[in-house]
Amino acid sequence: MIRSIARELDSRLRIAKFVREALNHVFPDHWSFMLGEIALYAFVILVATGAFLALFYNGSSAQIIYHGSYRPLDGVRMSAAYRSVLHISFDVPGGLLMRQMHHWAADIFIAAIVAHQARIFFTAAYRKPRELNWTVGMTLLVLALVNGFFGYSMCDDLLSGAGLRIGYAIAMSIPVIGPWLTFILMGGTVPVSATVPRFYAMHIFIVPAFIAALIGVHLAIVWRQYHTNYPGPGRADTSIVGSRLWPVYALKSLGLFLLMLSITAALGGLVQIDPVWIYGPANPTAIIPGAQPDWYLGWIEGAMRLFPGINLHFGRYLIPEVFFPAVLFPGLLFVTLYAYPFIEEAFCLDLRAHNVLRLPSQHPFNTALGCTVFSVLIILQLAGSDDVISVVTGSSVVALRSLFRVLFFVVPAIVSVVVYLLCRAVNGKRSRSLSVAQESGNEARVLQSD
Amino acid sequence: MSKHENRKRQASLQAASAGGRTLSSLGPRLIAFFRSQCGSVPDDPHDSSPGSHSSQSKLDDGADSQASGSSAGTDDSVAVKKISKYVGWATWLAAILLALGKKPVAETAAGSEYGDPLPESHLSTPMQAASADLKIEKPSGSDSEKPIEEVQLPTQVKTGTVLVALCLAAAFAGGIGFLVAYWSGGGNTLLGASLALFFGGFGFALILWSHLLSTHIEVIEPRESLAAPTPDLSPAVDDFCCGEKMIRRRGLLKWSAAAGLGMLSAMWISMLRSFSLSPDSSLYSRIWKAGQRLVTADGKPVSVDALQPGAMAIVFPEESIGTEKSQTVLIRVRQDLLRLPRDRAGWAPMGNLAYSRVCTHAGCSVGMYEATTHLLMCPCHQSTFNVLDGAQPTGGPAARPLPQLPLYVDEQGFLRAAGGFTAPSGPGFWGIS
Amino acid sequence: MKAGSIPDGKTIFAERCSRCHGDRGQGISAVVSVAGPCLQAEHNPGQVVAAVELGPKHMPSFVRTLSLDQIHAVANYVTQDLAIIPLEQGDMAEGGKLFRQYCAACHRTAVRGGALAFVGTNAPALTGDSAALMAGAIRWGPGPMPAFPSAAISDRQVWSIVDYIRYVQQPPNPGGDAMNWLGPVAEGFVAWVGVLALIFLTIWIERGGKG
Repeated sequence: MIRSIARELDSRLRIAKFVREALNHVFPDHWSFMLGEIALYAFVILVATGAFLALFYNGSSAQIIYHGSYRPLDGVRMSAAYRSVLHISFDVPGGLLMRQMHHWAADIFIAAIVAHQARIFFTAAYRKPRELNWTVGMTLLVLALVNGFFGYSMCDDLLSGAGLRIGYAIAMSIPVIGPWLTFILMGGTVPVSATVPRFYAMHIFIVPAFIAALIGVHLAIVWRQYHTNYPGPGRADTSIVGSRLWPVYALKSLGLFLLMLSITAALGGLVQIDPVWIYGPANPTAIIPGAQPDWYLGWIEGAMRLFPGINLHFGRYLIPEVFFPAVLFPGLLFVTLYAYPFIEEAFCLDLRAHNVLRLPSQHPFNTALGCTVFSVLIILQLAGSDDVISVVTGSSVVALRSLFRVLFFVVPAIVSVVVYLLCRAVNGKRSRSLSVAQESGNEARVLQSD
Repeated sequence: MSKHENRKRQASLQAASAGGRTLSSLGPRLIAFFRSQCGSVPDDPHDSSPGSHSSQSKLDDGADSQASGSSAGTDDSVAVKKISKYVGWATWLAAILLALGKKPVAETAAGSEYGDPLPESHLSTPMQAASADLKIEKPSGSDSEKPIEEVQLPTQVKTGTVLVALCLAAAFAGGIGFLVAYWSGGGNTLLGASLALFFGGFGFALILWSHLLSTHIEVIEPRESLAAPTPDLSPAVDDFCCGEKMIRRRGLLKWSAAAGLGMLSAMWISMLRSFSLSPDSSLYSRIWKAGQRLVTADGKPVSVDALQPGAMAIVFPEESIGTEKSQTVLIRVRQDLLRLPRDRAGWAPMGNLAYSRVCTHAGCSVGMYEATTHLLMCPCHQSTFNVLDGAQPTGGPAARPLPQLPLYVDEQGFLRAAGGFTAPSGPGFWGIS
Repeated sequence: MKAGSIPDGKTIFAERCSRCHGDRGQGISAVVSVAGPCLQAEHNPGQVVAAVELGPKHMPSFVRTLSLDQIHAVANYVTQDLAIIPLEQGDMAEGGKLFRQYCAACHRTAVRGGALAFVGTNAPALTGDSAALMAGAIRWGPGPMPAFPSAAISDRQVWSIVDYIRYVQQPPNPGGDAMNWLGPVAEGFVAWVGVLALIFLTIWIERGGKG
């Protein structure tokens, strides 16, 4: 039966050669290579559950009075968008499950991207010829962060309304172009009726279209270039070792997808996320504490809490204090990440194509830098949760803030030194001699001066 | 049986058989009719399907089903047989799936529905057993230099089958659980847990299949070297340059393209204006006008002794209740505690202080007030403002004080604004002074 | 006390209760601590009797020092003379709206307690509090909490807020475990647990097939 189907298709499309190559395409076997697949399958789940939600969601900010099945909000003024979210949560059978699965899948999507990117960074998989794919992947990360922000702001509840006002303040703080950019993006001084419909269109159509296209490009490049290998017996830049796509790799990948679905469904059913009915509708005169954004923006939140009240006056003009932690710092971080493969190439003068990965211990500087950045982000994440930590542990928020301000400098310094020395120790003398042989004088000087 | 009855029986039998023949020829007749609509098709010399030639020759005879019925009937009955074969397979598949769902753990690989029966007497080595059981086709071509095969022992296959069957049973239990939960209006927890069981069962089953019930072959293949440029690179570049030279006035074309793109960018950027009105002077508004009464959200005016020291209220200007920028916090403190700057000395009649409730850091409502320490605190980033000295920031990330509203008492004893806020309310931006 | 005479609730209250609850039952508090809550919204004598007998939280039990008649006299005095906040029918939805404007910032969305600036001033969780005590607290402003007089929040609005707080002390969680309403921080933590579980599963997927 397979043969007759294949014959029918081939007589129309002439794809037998491509299909044969595809079935025999070699994929290396290592668990750390499957992290990107977790992200990919999370996106698939997002699209599937999102399609369900989009059929019920009403992206209108028209103000209505609620008379639905959730009694504590009966007679309360709210937007039609918020009412549609309540409708999905309480009246649509399976609606709350889809909504929660969607939100959990979004959190998992970005966590998987971060894990995947960390693996790429620490194994130097961004080297030539894969710099292009690194750029595509970074763009995917940025788009995913943005789409997540749009997504939970669409519910138009009190928590995301506070987040929207903070986003407004951040956009307004950009010098010179801030107010214009903010008005274009949000439609006016928040809260304004144009914002939710605009985010709706961006979230369900414009940004996912870009994400899907870029995922296609990302996968096509990996396919074309073949995946990298860890160093080991039989592995060189000129060969690839692994198993064929069909049948075992396909089976494992499909199994991973189903397990992902299982975990997302378990979370969606057993752990409540974003209970918008308790937060209430967005109301600019109301506010709740614990108003953190979703976890992937928690580092910006922490930066905003820790950065002291320093603003710059230029006569009539002002750069507010929000600009530095929320615009400048993330901007610099992302620009550095984007340029990192090219920076490393320039530093190490290494323009060879690499198909074998570099173990983290083989380049202590790179690994230490990566660990330092991660420790900074984790400290900021914790600082962003300081009121939650205060409630849970009973400590004072002011004390926690001072503590995190100190830790922000101390912990990354310790981590960088410790990781660097650990890598050197793991490699022993091998790293030093290899570095001098392979890398440029600059790099060798840096290493020798340590 | 009487002759009459016999004849009746025969007649009815004949009628039945005639009807049956008509019915059975109805199908082929319809098929022949639709085939005749296709029009004459020249014989395709590459067409290797055997059925087409015979069916072409029957086109014109389509109407006369009785004469050509038998031969057309042969082709059509072949087609009907094929279709019924597919339907039969689908039915068998459905039956098997249902049976799988009901059946408990299968015994062994041999003779079960999970694989072909394994005549163990014909097998001498585990390798043969594995390949015979799973029908592995070695990858063709000389690609695999040193394939590393992992051999499945029959016991591994047995364990694998048992585990896989358990997983599938769990999966189907989960599926049925989901259906039951959904149709009986079950809660979110039940729906999610059963769905998780369904997917998890299949997921684990597939992974176990890949671990225990399949052969792993590790291959080593050469990679395409990216060091040297492909042989097509230079000709491609030459083709491009050659093609370019076929166009005259290339310089003009390039400049006009560049200018066109520039103009298009100008158009696109201009169209951004459609997304909103420009930021205007309302950003700088001090919100309150002199003489406006302070009212609560219900519209009730606030008198000078409505609050006792240590009390707090949310007030708005009488004409714009409930708007974000106009929200004001009214606090009363003991007059001897006030430490306002000299030019604001008269702004707090009887200790009533009014400040903008929009945080100057990032715009959240400054909703927390500690009455004993006289600190207004914003819950978003924990900026604190001391109400006694003009809401100067005392801690946290805010840099600018909360704008203060000067107050006075009118003849009826109600609080009114003596002017607007000292600064535009809300977070700072580029043009704010 | 003379045998057979009706005990005077006012006198007993002045002797035994006013030291913690204030001479008018208005409540006594210091900068961070609270001695006795405001009783001016207590309209249920049975609650007063139960409290005097049991001695909830920091309150001592008076079951041995006062007779039942005395306790009932005090209860009547409290509910008839001291309870100046009139009891009214509240509207839970309006209460929720006001709660989110006035109260949620300190006490958190599901009244599990919030973080204020300094140690000891954290707004308490209200999960175990009765309606009368909460209504009294709104008017009184114990400790660092500001007071909200009737000009800010009317009597009916006070009882609406209290109705809503009583509801949100045990809100339904249709979505599953609420993680104590800690918000996106807890959700992010759980998401990472999920991703780590997936990573461990991935390790099993790849490693499990070999040997």
